[in-house]
Amino acid sequence: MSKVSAWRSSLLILFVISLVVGSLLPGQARVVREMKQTYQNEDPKDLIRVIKDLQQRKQDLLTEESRLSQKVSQYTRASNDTAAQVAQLQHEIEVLKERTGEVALSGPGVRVTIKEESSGASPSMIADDDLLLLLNDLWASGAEVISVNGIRLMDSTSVYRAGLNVHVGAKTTTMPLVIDAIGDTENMSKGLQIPGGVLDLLNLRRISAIVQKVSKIKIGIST
Amino acid sequence: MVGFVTVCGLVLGIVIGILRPVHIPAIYSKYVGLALLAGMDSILGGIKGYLKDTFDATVFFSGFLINSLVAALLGYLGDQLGIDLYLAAVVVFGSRMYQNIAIIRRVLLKKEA
Repeated sequence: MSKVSAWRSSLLILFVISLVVGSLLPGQARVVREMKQTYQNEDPKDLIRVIKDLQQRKQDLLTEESRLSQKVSQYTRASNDTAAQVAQLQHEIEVLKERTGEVALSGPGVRVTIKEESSGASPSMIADDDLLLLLNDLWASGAEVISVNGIRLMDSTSVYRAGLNVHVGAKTTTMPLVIDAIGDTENMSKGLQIPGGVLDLLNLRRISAIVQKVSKIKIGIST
Repeated sequence: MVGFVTVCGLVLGIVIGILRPVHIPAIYSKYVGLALLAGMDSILGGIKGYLKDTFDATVFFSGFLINSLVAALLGYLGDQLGIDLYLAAVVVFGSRMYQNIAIIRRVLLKKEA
């Protein structure tokens, strides 16, 4: 084979292979783009978790639906019966009184005792954010009523630190704090003690927070 | 000349691929991607060989086929064994592409000078 024809055939092979590779590139890019828009490329473990979450959510929604249906039929029945209407309204008044803090409540719950470390070169102090995080965690894990050093929290009660004092609504209290919460004891206890949660955060900063399950907590009326 | 031919081939191939898309099943896309990487490495190797006057059509063609096939097989084997074996192909071909580009650049710069 002459040098010129060898040169030509080499170029031809390079051209053909470049052509083949080039023609496959758009198809491959399209497939990759499409796969990104679907779950095909996701980790099966993640997909299983997503499916489980969705199933749980579906179950919760079905429960909620049946609860609301029962309520609707209850209201429908009550609307035809004056005595039932009165009972219904009284029940609602009781619920509202509980919400507005007009009645004292008691029941099982958790007691969180928070103490600051005042000795040493750098004394530890609980901050507003810590208090908010702790109280929000309690609400989120099923607390129905909460009190801080005996002061009952309402929907609009503010809690913040001011120097050595802690302001709870219009009242002032001091450390140590005893936070009582009535509600699902197990859930609240687990919710607070979750690894990396608010208690770990406080312990890291040498603020002692002890959670106790209490079979009967009494929280007075809001004053 | 060789660069021009290669670029022409690639561009023409991409145009054909856009106008007449090749259907690649999603489950094979990973392996096709690896094969394409090996293919691009071979093309750059071919250009380098051509510029250095060491180009051998048989070596080039067999290299293209075997490298693409082995890259895809590595990906498949890795999937079967639960190891990210395809990374080996990605690293090897990726670094070789860089090396080849550097050599091509140097040869072209020397020719210019």
